[in-house]
Amino acid sequence: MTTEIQERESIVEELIDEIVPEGLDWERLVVTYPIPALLLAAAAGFLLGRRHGPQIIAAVSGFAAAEVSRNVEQLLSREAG
Amino acid sequence: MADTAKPESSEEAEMARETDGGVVSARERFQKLGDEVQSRYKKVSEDVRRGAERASQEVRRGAERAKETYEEVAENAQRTYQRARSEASNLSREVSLYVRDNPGKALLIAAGVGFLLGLIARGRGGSEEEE
Repeated sequence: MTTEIQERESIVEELIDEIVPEGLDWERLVVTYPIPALLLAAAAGFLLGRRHGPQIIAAVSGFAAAEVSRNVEQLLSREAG
Repeated sequence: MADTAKPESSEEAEMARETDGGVVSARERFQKLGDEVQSRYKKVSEDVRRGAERASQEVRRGAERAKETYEEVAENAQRTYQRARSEASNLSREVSLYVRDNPGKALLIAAGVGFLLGLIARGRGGSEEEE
């Protein structure tokens, strides 16, 4: 259970590492200025949701649907094989 | 001559007596009227004084009540402000601690909440534009 949570956290951190510019120590910034960092993230999310919300949701749901169908196919082929 | 003068003088005396009586009666009436006016004036001025005292007492009582209410409201407002300030400070401290412990998760949650709010705002703006 603990390792699962740690894995999830590391995924989140990797995702943020990919989003923010390289060389920016975002963790240190967030730890130093927690409330402004939260506000900035919320503002960025708000703008993203307002401008490209439906596209992002469509992309995420398409990705999720593709992953589900891939897994189902794998399961079916494993059972058939 | 003396016969005619005598009755005239008695008439004059009678008239003079009547006039004197009338004057005395008029003076008495005036005196009575003056006394009455004076007593009424005293009564009215007493009533006015009493009314003014009562009004002044009411005003003083009202002012005291208003002052008490104001002080109570001010005290309540100050207490509520202090409580809200302390709670906001506690919340801010807790949020800061959580963010320091889980920076990535906290950022992602904040961005997600912002994203949802943005979607809602867009939906509302879109529906208003459609109308």
